[in-house]
Amino acid sequence: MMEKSYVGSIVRSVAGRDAKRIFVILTVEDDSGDEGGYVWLADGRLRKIEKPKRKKLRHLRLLAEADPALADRIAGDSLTNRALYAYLQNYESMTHEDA
Amino acid sequence: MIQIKNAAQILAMKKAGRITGEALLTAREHVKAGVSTKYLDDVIRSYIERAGAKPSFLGYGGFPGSACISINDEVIHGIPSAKRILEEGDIVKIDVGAFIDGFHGDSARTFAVGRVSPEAEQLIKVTEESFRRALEQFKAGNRIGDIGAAVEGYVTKFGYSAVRKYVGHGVGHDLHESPDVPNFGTPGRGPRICQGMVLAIEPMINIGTPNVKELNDGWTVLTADGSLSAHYENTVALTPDGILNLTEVG
Repeated sequence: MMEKSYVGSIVRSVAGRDAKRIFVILTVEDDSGDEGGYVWLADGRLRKIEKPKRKKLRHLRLLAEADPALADRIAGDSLTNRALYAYLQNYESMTHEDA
Repeated sequence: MIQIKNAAQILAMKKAGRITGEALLTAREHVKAGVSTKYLDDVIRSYIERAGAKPSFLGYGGFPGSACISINDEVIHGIPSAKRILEEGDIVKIDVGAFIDGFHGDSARTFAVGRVSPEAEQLIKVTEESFRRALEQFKAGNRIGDIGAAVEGYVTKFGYSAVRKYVGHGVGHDLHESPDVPNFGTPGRGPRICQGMVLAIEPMINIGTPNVKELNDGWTVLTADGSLSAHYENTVALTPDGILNLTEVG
């Protein structure tokens, strides 16, 4: 199987207080066990980039694979909370149009 | 991580699924005594490539064939060979995958070669029905454990066992994605099923014990006790309109 990074992916939480909310993965702490691994998330509003949420992979569902442009901005520390929130809003509006 | 597919992605997966299903139908027409498993593999590869797709299994982890073709007590992952000839009374499992437009389809069937024993015939029927029972559990709000429990609960009534070492899986951009979909389990346990999940549900059912062993070719998996084994698999998606069986054609 190809190695893929989750950084820059859009995920939906399925457990905890933030269940049903969508986030972007900022950092992968440990994906060696995949379902047992941890990642750090933010959405620019509930969870800010400077205070991301640590979450188990098994409590997330992948909605969109990593956007390389977004991953670059995360890696370069140039992503703002405002831009991240707008990115997720845009994603949600697009998927609503699909449905 | 379990990947949720949107409507456009599931639509794209229909193509991979259709080619996979059609490749199996084509192979079925060639299943008869005297035919080699390599010949069946060639038929499948040719069909998939003519449809503009790639055989998902060819080269996957180094697998040398386009299909896994397993006979009688071979459970899965049989390597196609010109020396392996089907005989009257055999049961043959053909597992096929096709990759096109960025997505895989994955499906398997067990075919009878000519007339088979009543016990082999029953095993094939029960295995297919166990898939149908599993599919009834593939609905939003249920858990993955409900699928496995349905398979195991049904086949044990016949004294059969579900293989535990190998399991179903998610399907998408990768042939094997999360979650694992075992053919055994506890109802109400495991990841919650939701719309947008695409799974390969694939009961592998043995007449005897669930234990298996590997041949030293590094691939072929056999029942540990030499009993017959059957396999039935489809790639299925859960959409807002219900279940879409992507690989069932005809």
